[in-house]
Amino acid sequence: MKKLFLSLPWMSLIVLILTVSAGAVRPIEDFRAPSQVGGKVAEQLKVLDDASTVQGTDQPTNPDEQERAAEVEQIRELLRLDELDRQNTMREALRQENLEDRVQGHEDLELAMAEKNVDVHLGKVLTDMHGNRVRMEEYVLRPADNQVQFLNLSLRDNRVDYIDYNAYFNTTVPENPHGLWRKEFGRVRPDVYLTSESILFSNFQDSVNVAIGYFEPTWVAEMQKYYLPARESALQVNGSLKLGYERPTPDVDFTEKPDAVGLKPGASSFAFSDRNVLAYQLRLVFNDDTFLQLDKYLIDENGNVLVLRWDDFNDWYYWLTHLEELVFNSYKETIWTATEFEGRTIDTVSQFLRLVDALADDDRGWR
Amino acid sequence: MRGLRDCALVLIFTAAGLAGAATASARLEFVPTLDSSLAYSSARFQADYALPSATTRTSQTSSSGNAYLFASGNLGFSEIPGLWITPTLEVEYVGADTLLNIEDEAFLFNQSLNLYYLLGFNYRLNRVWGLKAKGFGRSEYAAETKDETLASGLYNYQDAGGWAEASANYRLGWPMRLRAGYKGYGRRYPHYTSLVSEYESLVNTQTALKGEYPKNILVNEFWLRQEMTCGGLPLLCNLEAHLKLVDYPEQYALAVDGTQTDRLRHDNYFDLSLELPFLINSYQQLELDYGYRLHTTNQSVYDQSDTLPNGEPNPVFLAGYYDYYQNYLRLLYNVNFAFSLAGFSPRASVSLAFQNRQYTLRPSRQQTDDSGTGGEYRFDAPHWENLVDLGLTWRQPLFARWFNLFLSFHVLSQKSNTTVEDNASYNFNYNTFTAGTAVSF
Repeated sequence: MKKLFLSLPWMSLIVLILTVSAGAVRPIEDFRAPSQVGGKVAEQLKVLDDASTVQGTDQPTNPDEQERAAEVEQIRELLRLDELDRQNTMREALRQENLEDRVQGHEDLELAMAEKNVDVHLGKVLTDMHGNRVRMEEYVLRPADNQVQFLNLSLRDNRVDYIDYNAYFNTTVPENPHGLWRKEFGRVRPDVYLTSESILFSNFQDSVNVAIGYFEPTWVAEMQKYYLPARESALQVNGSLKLGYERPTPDVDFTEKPDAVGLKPGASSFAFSDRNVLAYQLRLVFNDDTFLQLDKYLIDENGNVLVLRWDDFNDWYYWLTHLEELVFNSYKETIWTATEFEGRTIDTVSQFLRLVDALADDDRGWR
Repeated sequence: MRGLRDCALVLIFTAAGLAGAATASARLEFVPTLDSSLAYSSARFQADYALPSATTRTSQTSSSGNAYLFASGNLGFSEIPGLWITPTLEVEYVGADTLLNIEDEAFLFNQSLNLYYLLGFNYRLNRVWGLKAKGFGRSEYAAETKDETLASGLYNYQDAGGWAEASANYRLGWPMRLRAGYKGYGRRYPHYTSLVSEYESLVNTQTALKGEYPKNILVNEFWLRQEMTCGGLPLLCNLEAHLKLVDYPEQYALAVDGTQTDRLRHDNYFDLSLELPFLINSYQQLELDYGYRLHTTNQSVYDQSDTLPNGEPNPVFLAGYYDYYQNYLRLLYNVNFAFSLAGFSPRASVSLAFQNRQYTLRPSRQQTDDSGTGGEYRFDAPHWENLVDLGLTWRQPLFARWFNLFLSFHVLSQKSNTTVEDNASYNFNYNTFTAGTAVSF
């Protein structure tokens, strides 16, 4: 009942309440035996009417006839009232039937509301910062035994942007890949570990691709544990290698790949947007004077850009303890622009973008 | 094909009704009934877990204009007593000034239009047996965001189906009635297509993704309802068992590794309810309702956005994410006041409802402020939701019994042990106030 109640559109709900409350006692009335008064009155009237018809329609003159005529009128009135009563009873009975039909129909609304509710809770639908619908679908695929693919699609304004993340492991990935993305391990060398991973952002025309390759798990004596050192990394814009680093062994520094364009010294920038520490802009300028810009916002499910200014840090203890909550409860809207995009953008909304942060760790090869 | 089948179903019910009408001659009785209203509603949503200064999501208000019509033209035939053909139309339009999405299945739309049309018959064969059969169709249109129109809403859907119910009045010491029914219908979401189905080139692997319309459903319902009076008391005892089987012909169940299996999603809803309406006197009625529901499904959720506290991906398979059971209790009080206002007695209704929904396998997610574990799933503490709902309605006839002014106020509060609210609130208060006019006859 409660679900029914909640699933009703408000207006129909209120009208339903009014109707139900008006006829609240009707179910009890349904069990009352039907009145026999109507039948008896009709029977009597018929007899009297027949007699009246035989004697004509003129006004009766003798007292007996007058009395009889009055009786007929009285009974006619009773019948009229009884007919009204019958009609009202019938109407009420029909109203009750119609009401039951209505309730029967309203019960169907619950499933539709539940479908929306599930989508909202699972983050499949949300509203972006412009108030427009964003649909987000995320899939897991196993293209090969040693590969896991996460696919994220965002639909808005009749455009689709997607993120295609692929992780490759040294061997067959177990059914439940829980914990396989770890880069640091304990004293036991892991049986299954990452060999490379890549993430592609695209609008079907343009793309930004980030890829990282790993060495095998390496024992670090100082830390007394195994970890997964990065072997190489690459950043491509529309297929052009903009940044690339590599190293032959885990114990040496990275060197720039010879075919990478490379960063133009001193030209890149990073800034928070309007002093909002939850929105920032990263602009990379390369040696060929092209650029790649990343604007990242935290938004809530209604598309509101979350704002946290330096001034808000007055209550620093509160924010220290709630910052993670804020981050975990939000979506990341990521907008890529680049010289090669010629004004187009790649604009994705995802919770899954936390992966990007994980990938962007310095220890994975970024400088 | 499905459309044709649905149409055929409606036509069968229509034909059944008209066949009855065709055999009838002479007197035709027409009894229209109508409920309609125009109203203004104001709603306020308040989430418990505020994120100070960071967002406006914690508190929202919305107001809307609403128009509602339920009209039925009941047709009776003198030569077939007890038969009524009941064409019915229900229309509701809601226009809200702001969007308000809230948890637990209550939404306010920018605009929504709901059409429900029903055609069939009620037939009282004799003093014992009764039969109802109806075909119905429904169209729901909703514009929920700025870039949607009524015609293009993502969640727009159409239903087509029918239901039939047989009833028997009898006495076992006291008057009783038994009702048994079946309903079947299909629901189609024409705009809700799987994104990946439109961009198959993305999936350039051997792992195909299936299902173009994952929301489409086929529903089969069965119910058995026993109504009885209790001795000489003005008390009814209504007991109902209801089974709803929901098939998703284009949605596939997920495997432990997050990939699709070959099994289609199937949901079961089993409801048991007990209603105890008690007529205190001619002016007052009290009702106590209890309901139990068990929901099971073979569908699960794979959360690939989950991360460990150190930021590493931590995809989690949540088996039985949707499975739950719930208990529901409601107390309802209706009163027709003895005094008159404007020549008529006002009526009031007060309801108080409690509901506990317990998810059997879904883990809760709880805030842990002082550590880095915020957002972690707690498999040792399954997710639950408690809801309290208080409703007040006042109705005052004006000029005639069929014309009313009404005021309605609802306070709804939900609490949950999940306090990490990724996408929508589990802990909130939701208040609505509605004022309007209603015509009923």
